[in-house]
Amino acid sequence: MISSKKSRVLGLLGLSAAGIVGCSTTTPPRELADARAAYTRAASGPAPQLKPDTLIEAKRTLNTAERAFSQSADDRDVATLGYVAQRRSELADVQARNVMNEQEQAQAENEIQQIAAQRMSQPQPDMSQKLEQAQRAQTDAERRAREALDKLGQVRDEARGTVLTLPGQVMFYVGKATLLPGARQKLNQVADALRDETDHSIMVEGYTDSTGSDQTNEILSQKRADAVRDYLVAHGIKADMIKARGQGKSNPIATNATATGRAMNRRVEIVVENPPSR
Amino acid sequence: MKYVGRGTAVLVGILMAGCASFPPPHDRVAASEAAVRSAQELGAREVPQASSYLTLAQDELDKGKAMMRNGDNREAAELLERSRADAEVALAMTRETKTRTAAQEAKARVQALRQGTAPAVGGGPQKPPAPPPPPNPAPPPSP
Repeated sequence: MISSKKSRVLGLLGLSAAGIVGCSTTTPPRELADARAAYTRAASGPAPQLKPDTLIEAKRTLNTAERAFSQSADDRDVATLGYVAQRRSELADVQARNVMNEQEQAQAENEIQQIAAQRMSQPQPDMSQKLEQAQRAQTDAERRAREALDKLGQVRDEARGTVLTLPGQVMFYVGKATLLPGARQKLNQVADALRDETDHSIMVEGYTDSTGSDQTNEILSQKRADAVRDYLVAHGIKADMIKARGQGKSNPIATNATATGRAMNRRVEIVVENPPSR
Repeated sequence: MKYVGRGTAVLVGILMAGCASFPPPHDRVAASEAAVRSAQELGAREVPQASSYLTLAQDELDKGKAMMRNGDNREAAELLERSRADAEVALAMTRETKTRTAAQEAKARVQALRQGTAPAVGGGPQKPPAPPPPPNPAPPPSP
């Protein structure tokens, strides 16, 4: 770098000497005219701000060409100096535009990061509001359903969900799967409470006491569960949300050794199931 | 920068040498070849404007080498200086085209993001920014 600068200074001196002995010219060669125009164009563009070093070099090369011309240097030398001077000016202009592009890209990428950071830090206000509303509405619906079920009979919470137990003697004729008039009234209320249920599926389970054969008990408990399910579907519960299952004498809730215990074991349970994700 | 200074120095060196015996400018051949190769490798052939500068540079390089073979070393040196100056502009133009495309793409992403987050309120869709005019230096004169 240092040596090249030194040689340039020496060279400029040498050019002056060479120019003195050159032949005379009156009109500048086309290359010099082009070089002047190219420099003017580069100097009025972004180069003075963004690529001043190359522009200054372009100016120096142009000055050298001008000096060679004014000192009547050989035409060919002036032409070559002018040609290179023109290219230097063009180079300054193109390099400045390159810097400008890089700056614009950096600025745009900065903005992209800012926008991304904003989105990360604050979720969309309207979205969070909607989510909150939906959660509140769901909680309200669950609370109302639970309150309604509480009025109907025994309700308990188990791992699988909320269980409403309906005693068999108020639901069915003895040994049959036909609903009693009082059962219809209760099931109407169950249907009202669970009609809007969309998140929780419902399982209707029929149970018997231990008297009689297993097969009879299972068939009877299945028929009774089906009867309850069909009634609820007929009264507005969505069919794809509710299933029925006969459980026979399994899962007794009281002893089968006493009449009272057997009466308690004959029952229908309506389970509002917890979603698997909870 | 560096090469500009050197270019001027070399030119002046050519002029100083006058008509006396001029050594074969092997270093200038190497410099010109390197500049031409750099422009080619960056893809100057795919950028029309840069491609025309590169063609000039290649022609001057070839002629310069032919002149050296005939012993016209001084003229060869001048042509080789032109060749390198042309190749360097071709290289810069190719680079500028790439950064211009990258800047436009980044700005388009900003625009898309803005329209995604904040739809125009009480107005039509936002107008995309007009693409900047391509740099337009004078077409290279034939050597």
